[in-house]
Amino acid sequence: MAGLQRERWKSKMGVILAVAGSAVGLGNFLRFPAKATANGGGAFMIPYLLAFLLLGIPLIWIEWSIGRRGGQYGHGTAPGIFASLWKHPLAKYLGSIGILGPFIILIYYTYIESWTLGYAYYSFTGHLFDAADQNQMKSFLAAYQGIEHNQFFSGIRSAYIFFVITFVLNFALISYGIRSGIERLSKIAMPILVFIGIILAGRVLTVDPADVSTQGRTVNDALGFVWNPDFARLLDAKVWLEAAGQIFFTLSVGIGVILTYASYLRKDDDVALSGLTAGSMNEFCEVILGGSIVIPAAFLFFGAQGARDVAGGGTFNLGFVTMPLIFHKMAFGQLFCGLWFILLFLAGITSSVSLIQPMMSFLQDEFGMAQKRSVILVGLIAFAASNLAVFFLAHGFLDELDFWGGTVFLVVFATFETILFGWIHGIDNAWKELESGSLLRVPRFYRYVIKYITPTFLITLLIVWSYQQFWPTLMMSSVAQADRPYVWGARIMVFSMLGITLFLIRIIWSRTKGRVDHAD
Amino acid sequence: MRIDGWILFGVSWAIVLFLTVFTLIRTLMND
Repeated sequence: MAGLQRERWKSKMGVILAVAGSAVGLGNFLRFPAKATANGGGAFMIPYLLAFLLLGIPLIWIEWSIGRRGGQYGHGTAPGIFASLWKHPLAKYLGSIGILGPFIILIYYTYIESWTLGYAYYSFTGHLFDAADQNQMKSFLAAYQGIEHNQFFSGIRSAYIFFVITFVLNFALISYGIRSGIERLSKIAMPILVFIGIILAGRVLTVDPADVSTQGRTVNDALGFVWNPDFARLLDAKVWLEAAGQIFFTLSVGIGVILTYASYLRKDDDVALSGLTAGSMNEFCEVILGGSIVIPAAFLFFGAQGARDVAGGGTFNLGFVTMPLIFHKMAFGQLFCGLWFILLFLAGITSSVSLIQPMMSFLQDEFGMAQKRSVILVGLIAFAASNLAVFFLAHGFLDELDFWGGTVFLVVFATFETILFGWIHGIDNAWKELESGSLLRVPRFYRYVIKYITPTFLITLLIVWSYQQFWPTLMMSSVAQADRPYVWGARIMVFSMLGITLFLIRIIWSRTKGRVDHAD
Repeated sequence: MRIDGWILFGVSWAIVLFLTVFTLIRTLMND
């Protein structure tokens, strides 16, 4: 609220590491290699890198630019930022999903993140290695999640303890604010994450071909399995959409968190170079590290068919079932398995704190709420909602939240912000915004990319996803009859929260009409 | 790994490494 001094980042590297930390998540190490392997191997990199250039980089620059601009008006979230770009009563409401989206993801993400902490603990203690084959490892995961009761766990108690620890840790960090909380965490966690990633990639890429577990398969064969291109797959539109989707999800664009982080920049701070640096760091973690660990390891220890099954078996299966089994077969497997889950935990926590901040910023900037009070309020609501994701996991509650918060809202939000920036705010103003304080000469062709190509790309994604995913999911075509009440519950929760967010936006704008025009 | 695999592997790694190192150095020089 007017009068409250907004925090600022301490250093350029601090904000870059925070944004990179937000972007680097479990998907870099699990989703990317599986998608690449299933969609043409090395050939997948052609649409992937094109999508990075034409969709990823422009969206990064849009979000950094409008975020920094919003900060100058005292707004750290999309409603205020959109209202400053478009003087239309509707603009602020379009921004509602930039607060709600990250909050919905937060509700289930901290629970998944807590599994990595729990699994790190059980790796080091050796309990995880009591499961010796695929079926036992699946039983271990199901028992940990409280879905089964077996010899590994008799209930959800352990998982719940790790969830509470993870949740409290996240909010404790956030309570220290931007500089002492998020920036300090990112400066410590990101270098450790990269270091562990290099150790694990190095371990996989130096597996001895004489190792009996690999049955003569070499690292060269494993890399060939990932990288040998199948160019015929490029004729399949699905491959291009998967590549665009991967770029979209990996860079954390369309969520609303980059806007919030960038709002804590100063007016003359650079956004072009900083945004590109953060995006490049994410690509390093994805292509170089993510591409060198999971699938090459799966090929080495399970062969081509095993790795193919693993790649198609889902992200959780890959991370929590296959990888522990692989480490089971390695020398010092417990240590490497523990490091693997610490890597995922660090990737998770740097992302989850970024998901908390937009709601915090909304309450602080628009309602003038103090830091401590906003931490308690957001924490209590998120904790109550997260419990539903914890206890209704087996009933598709989490999947439904992910569908809205992690898919639909992202694409819709990115489309809104791109059109607002390139068309309504106007490409000339947008370009000035991007170049202001820039430490990088932005190629001029990006004017055309931002105005024409990125929105076209997004609208195409929106149409195809609506056709492929929206209707079948909305109609619950693959949801068992018994689970439908839970899915309905999740849906009602999402739309109730949307209604409350819209109502709060209406209240604050009716109270402070015209404040958007007053810069700090 | 086949030769076309090595080429795609090399080009992809080179682009990503170049971008990461170039942007990091420019940033650190200005921080």
